[in-house]
Amino acid sequence: MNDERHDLDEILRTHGGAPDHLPSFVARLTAGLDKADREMGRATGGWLHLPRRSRSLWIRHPVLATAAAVGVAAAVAAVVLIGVPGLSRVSGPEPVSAAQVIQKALHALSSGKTVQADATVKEQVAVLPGGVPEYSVTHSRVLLRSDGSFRQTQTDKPQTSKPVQMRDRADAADTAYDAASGVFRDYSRGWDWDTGGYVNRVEVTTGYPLGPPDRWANVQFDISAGARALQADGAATLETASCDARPVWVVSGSKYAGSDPGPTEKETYAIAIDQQTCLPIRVQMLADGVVQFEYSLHNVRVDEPLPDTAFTFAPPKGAKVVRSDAGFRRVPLARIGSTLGHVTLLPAWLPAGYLQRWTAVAARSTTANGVTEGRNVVALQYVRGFDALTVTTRTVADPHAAATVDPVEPDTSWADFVSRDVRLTAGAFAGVTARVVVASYTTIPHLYAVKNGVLLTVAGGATAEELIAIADSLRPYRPD
Amino acid sequence: MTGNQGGEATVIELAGWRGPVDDPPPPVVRAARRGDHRAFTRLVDLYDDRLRALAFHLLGSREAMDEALQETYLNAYRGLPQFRGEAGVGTWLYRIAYTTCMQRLRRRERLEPADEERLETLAPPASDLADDVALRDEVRRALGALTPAQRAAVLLIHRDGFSYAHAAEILDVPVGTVASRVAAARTTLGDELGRPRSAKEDR
Repeated sequence: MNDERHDLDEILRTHGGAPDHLPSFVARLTAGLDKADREMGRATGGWLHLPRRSRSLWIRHPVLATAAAVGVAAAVAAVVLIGVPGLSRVSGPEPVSAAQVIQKALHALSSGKTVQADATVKEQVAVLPGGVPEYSVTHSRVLLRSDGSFRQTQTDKPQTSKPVQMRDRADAADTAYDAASGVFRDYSRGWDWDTGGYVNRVEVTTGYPLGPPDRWANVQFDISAGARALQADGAATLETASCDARPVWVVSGSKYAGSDPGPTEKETYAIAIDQQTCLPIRVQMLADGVVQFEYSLHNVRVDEPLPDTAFTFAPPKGAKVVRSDAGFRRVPLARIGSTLGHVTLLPAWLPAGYLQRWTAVAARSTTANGVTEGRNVVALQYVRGFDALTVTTRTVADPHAAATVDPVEPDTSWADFVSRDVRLTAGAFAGVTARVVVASYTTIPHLYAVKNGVLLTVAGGATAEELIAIADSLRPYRPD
Repeated sequence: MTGNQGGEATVIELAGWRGPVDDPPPPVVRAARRGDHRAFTRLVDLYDDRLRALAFHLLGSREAMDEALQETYLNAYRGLPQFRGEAGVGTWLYRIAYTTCMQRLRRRERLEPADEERLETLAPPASDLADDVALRDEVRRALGALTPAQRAAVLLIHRDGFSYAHAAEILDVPVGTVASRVAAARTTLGDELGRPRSAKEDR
């Protein structure tokens, strides 16, 4: 009887699933939820994180479940890190404050070239009777290069004591982004209800955006965002501990640094920083002291050359290949103006160490919030080690809407929780009010403002003051 | 039967049960009740694949599954501010989904009495490409041979791993009713699929 029951369990769990939603499901649900918000007097918008296909929820979803995206962001942050033989040592006096430790970590992050590591994501999926947390653990191999290229290969299925969900099946996953060519590849294996069988599926997207606010590959999350959130938190605390038998500093602060903690004040964010390399080796999110999410790296090797071939892969034989074009074209800076037919704005000031890496244009693009549609998009990207800054301008059809809906942070309500407004005082956007968001562990530091129908965004590895200074320095670009 | 900490939906505590309802962390539930979009999205994300399975096998088509889950999530979103955590949020969502599906089935039955036949005709054609293709079709057809109430019970118990007590909470029937439905379902499934062990060994 028990065997029979076990077998029936197995059959139904393996073969008793359901197809994904129809393509229209999310749009319809979003409209319904917005309607419900209006009826209840709530702010609308920001529903872009609703599931579109089941696998992506856990592998690539930006912030959902707080985990996946945070995972990747943290992952990448941690990526740079670990035990790292050969990494240059950061010298200086022993830190005596959280701010000093964060400063050292940011300095170390800004000088890396490549990272290869085994990453582990541990996410709380349930609280069992007695308050015992239960975790799902996933593993992947991560490659990262300072030009923004990355590769993330899932190395096994999530391990959980409750294998009841479809996502726990041994579906493979591999994601690669080649920054030089702007090609994003995403491989997955899963059930295809259209054909009625398991298929290898590869999505190949050319013309990929450089970075926020346009949709960008998760792993390009600014790797220092978490550290900067703690840097912005004047109340962050410092303690010493060990991680993988290595002495670390642990810097902790509120998940909502700089904002009214409200009812979530016991939710904290902690980064363990290797005392030897000054690099983050573990990122944690905790609620009432219990780990909700943890990202850590193992077997890390840094600054070893990674060939371009590491950031691409050929579709497996017989795979279903789906091709699309995100519309961004790499164009030399001097040709942007003639390409789009209007003046290019260029920052005259950048934080120390940043160098221009990529420039691209797109005839049109929809920002990550899924709301703001822009035309004549100009994207400029600057890099400094694993730090990246993306400055974009675009014309928008509805300037008022563009100024009030955060183009980078898809969940408007969440971003509003941690943002502040400043008046820009110089440059092409002088006189307008910009919104600055530098807090929250899942949000890349960013600024946005609208003037004369042009939306400006500055996003990436910078402090609030630096973001404002960049925005204040925008001048028309004049080729020599 | 259901645990309740601080008036919030937190830990599900059924006597002697360490079951599968992985309720999200309490802050997520609290935030969702406040109308936080991301938190509600997390709830949807957490339960969507299981609720899809329930709705799909109860209603028999992808379109009907989507319609039912649209209604489920909208009702849940509207009802969350009133959710007080007497049951876990997962249980609550399952209950909404199940009720919605059954209401839709009843409406459909008034229009299409031969519901089970419809399931048969909607089933995708069997494929000889892979064993699991055939098995999936076979499972779907076998489930279609059950009554909706039996189907829901057997999916909750055998697919989603609920205890009988917990399934009874979701289905709003006595535990004994769940047990009898599951027993009947096992018999029918055994006939339809052959002995489950055999099916597994054949793979």
